[in-house]
Amino acid sequence: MLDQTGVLSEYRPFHPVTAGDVCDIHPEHGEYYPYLNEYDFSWQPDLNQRRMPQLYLEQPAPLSFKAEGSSAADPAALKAHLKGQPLRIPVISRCWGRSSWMFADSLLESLSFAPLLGITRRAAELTDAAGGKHQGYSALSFHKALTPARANLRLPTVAQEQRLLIYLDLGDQNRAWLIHESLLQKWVTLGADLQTVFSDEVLSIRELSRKEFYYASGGSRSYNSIADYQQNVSGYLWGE
Amino acid sequence: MSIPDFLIPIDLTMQLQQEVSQLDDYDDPCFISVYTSLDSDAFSDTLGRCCDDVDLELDDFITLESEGEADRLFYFSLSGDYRDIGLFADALASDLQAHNGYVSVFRHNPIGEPQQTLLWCWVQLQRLVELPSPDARVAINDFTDRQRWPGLNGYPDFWQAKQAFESAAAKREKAGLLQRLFRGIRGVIFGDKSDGSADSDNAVDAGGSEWQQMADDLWSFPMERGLKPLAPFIYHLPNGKALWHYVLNGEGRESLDEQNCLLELDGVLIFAHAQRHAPEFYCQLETCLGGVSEQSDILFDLHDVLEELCDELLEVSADEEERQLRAECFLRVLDIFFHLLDQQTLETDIFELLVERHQCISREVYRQRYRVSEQVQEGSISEEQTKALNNITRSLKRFYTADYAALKAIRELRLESRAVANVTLWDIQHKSHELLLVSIMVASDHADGIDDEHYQSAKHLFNAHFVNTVVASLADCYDGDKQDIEIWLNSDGDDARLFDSVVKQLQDGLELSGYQGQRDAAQPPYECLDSNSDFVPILVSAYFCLQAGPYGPATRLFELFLILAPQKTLGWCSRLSRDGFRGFINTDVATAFEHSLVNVNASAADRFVFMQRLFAKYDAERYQQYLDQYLNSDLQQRSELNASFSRLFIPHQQRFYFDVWLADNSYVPPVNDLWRSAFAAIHKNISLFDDDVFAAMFDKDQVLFAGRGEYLPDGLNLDIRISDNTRNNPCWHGAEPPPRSISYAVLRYQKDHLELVLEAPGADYKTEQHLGVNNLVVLDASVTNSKLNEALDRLADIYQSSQKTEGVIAEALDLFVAGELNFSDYRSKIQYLVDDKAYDLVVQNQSPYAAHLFIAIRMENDQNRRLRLIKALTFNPVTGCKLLDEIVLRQYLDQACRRGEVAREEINTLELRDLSAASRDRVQQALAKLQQALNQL
Repeated sequence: MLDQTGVLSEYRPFHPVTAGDVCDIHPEHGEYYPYLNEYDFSWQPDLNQRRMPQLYLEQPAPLSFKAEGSSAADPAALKAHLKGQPLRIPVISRCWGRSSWMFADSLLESLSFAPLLGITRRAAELTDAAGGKHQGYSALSFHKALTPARANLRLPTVAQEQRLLIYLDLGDQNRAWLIHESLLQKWVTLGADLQTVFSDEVLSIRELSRKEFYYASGGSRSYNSIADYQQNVSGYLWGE
Repeated sequence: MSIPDFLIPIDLTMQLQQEVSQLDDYDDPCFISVYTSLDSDAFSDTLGRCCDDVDLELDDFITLESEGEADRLFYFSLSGDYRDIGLFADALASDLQAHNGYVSVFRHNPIGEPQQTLLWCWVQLQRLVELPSPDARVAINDFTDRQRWPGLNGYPDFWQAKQAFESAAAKREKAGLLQRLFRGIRGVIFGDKSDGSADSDNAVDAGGSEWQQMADDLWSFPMERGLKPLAPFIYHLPNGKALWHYVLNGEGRESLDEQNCLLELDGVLIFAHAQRHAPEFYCQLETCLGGVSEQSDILFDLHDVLEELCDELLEVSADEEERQLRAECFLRVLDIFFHLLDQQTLETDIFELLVERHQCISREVYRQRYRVSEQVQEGSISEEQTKALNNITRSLKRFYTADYAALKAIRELRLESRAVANVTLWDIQHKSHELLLVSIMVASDHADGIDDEHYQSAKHLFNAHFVNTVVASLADCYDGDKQDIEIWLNSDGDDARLFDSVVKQLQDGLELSGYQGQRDAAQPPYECLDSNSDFVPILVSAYFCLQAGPYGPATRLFELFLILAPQKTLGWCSRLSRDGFRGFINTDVATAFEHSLVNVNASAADRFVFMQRLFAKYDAERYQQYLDQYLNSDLQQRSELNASFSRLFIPHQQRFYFDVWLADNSYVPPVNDLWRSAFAAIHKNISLFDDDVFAAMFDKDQVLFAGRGEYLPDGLNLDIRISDNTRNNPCWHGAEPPPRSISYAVLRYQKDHLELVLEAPGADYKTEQHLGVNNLVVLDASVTNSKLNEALDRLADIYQSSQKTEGVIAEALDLFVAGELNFSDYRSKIQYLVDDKAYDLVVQNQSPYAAHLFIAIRMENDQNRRLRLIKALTFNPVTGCKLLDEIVLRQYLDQACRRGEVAREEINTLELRDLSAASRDRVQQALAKLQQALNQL
């Protein structure tokens, strides 16, 4: 971050570009139809509980997650479009609430976090909007946000590879995820859709702290056909 | 705490679980449990009959049979308003009386846990069954019935109930069935723990004996509900044995510090650690926080999380030595949590608890112990202080939620360092809430007798930006010319013509909030005085600024707003002296606030009216002084006070005048026809839709359908044909547009088609096949033309002009109350227009602006008029009796209050059973007398 001289200067904002609207021609209606939207890539635990948790403690058994889902979805038509192929799930996607993210395990390989960061990893089984099941994903839950002062105090003694992703308390309920520059580059090469070019304002802890409402997002990428989405081509970026 | 011993079979828990999990966030059904000797079939019949009687719909019920017992338990839920539910419960209890029946009704509050409501419903049933009085067969706890709601005191919370269940189960180990059953209901009430979360039955605590042994050796008292659940939590922390030793007797702190044992605690997640090692503490955390939460949420609620520990270690009556030992132990536990939570500043309530309430630690030591030490240059503001200033500024920005805590936080900061008052070090943009903080600093310095450079800087900054900020913050809620306002604020205040003109401009031009806002209201709801308005903080900053001495622009801003909305303005000024949304934080603050209003030139009458309203609710003694002062006021004063009272909402005026009337029965309030608007509010709720009015004129079995056309049953979805009988609605009277009261059509079922017998005016049915209305009444073929004509004539009679239903009712009521219409005529005029069983003393969803009918009736000094008002409210033979009971009881208590036998605060809460036998007799006699008088009307 540009306004930091200590350990925080090694980080960049963690701004995933999430999947947005995916439209295509509906086989029956013959019209353009919104098959998927951002809520189909936001995961919530498939639990029969009145209060649905947003933080997941570490347990050996995988936890089932389902897409939050949109009312417009037509699973049967979507399935027909997929022609037996599994729906592509981005390697990084949102979990419902503000405390967890869903990652493909391929990104998390050999990644570990110092205990003082308060990050837990819970294996996940995802059920997508077409009803398909996906293994090989994990939810990272961020149980505590460090103030910048605390981060500057505690992180310098932590090995860099143990603190590649951190969660910051910007005050007034605003939170920021920061990603170490090295991890940002690595994840981008592994196919993660992450913002890599930032305005000076976003690169300043002070400016982020002054924001009325800060939402960690690199925007969403939408597609005009399911085939494009599946191949991750011709997507167009919104709300960068 | 007694927990129901009823036997809940395990195989039914799934059914109950399903019931509970199906509730949505807005569902508020009544949970009903019944104890009776009837079998399921007979119970089903009885239940169906009772539901039909009050038009309640029941899907199914669950039978909970107890093995080997003659009696059974039944459970079901019903949705309906409290009147219907009450009638239903009474009817059910009455039908079951011969079958040892008891009925417990508990309304679920959607913000609560359904499992908890379920538990309370059982508890209530058990208490009912165990009551010594054989007559009490039904118990209702329905928070929507505000008049009769008994509250929730005495019901166990989750944690208490869980412990009681467990200890009851443990005691009955040998009673295999009971133990099994307890486990069954636990699953329903405390949730399914099959996902692997903490369960005390499964928890492994390998060190159990050791932490207990250490406590036996090192702690002088038995561990109770606070310390015991925490013991395994602390013992299993990294270096837990040493930490537990330190907690118990205070030894080993140096060594812990040397090894950074406390600092390293920030690597522990409290929820995860508790789940693994301390299941009881985990349950406490879950109960407090509603599930696994961020560490910052634990910090925020730490006082609640440690409530049991506070009770055990701080809230004990003991000698000084023991109190000190316990308090020190608490501080040591707090040391651990402070480090677990990243050494973040603890919430104010912990500070208040330790430093102010129990004084077990000084302010300075608290700061040293529970703050991270920072190196700060003299005259600078530390990072921690900057954070605190930012927090205060944010709380002032959300001014509607700010309260005395903000002032207190400012005071604490000022005690820490003089530098915090140096506004030149603040990072601000001169917004209204920031200027408010500046003005508070100025007022605080003035009160503390400080006149240094920081004080002067703050004053200068405030004066430089005040007028511009006032004008800017009015931008969104005032379209008029702001130049005159600016000129007025900057003037010397002598130009009366300018003042009048600005007042007029603002009265006409300030935006009103809400779609019902009216400029001629006592205090128009100006948007600039709304809770989220940017203008409010700058208005309040003027109040604080004036506490430090005269400042023309602030004085003149107040002059304007004490004319525009005096009570609302004073209300905002009081915000930072209040305890949340309650009254003043304490008496001294209240007195100081009252005096401070002189500085903003609020009139004595406005001050009186404002203060009495808060004291009425929160300080009976001070309120009495205000009542006495009003009673002793001379004509001139009384007139000024009444003028100020007229700027309050009607119910607030009414409440004060009622209390004066209670003290002096010759008192005639300045407004005495409030019954009219109060009845209108009730009638708005209970008047029937117009199609229902028409349908009500026929026998039930002659009306096949009444309601919105789209809900017409398939069997009635037939061709519609006009016939020679088709008539236009007689209520039309040719008015354009046609009144709402004819927005329906009437059809008669004719086997293969529906005959249009009453159409809406203007509908071109013949060409458009369109009735032009949304609602339909379908009558049976058996309704003859003459019966139909009779109903139409009656309809024409009711609506003699193009009045709406409410107008017809109001006109009839006026005539009846004035004695110009006898009851029988009055009733025939309104009988089809209102649902008379729905009359009640409390109006559901009553507008905050509407008068209370019951108070209006009680204050009515004209006996004849009062009698007629009571008649108009209570003539329904079923529900009217209950209302009459209540009216007579309250009238009796009003008189008893006058005689000094009952306190004013009790007249609305005492029940008949609370009175002596002699008093009950007198109430019964008064009831008989009243009934007799009503019958003669």
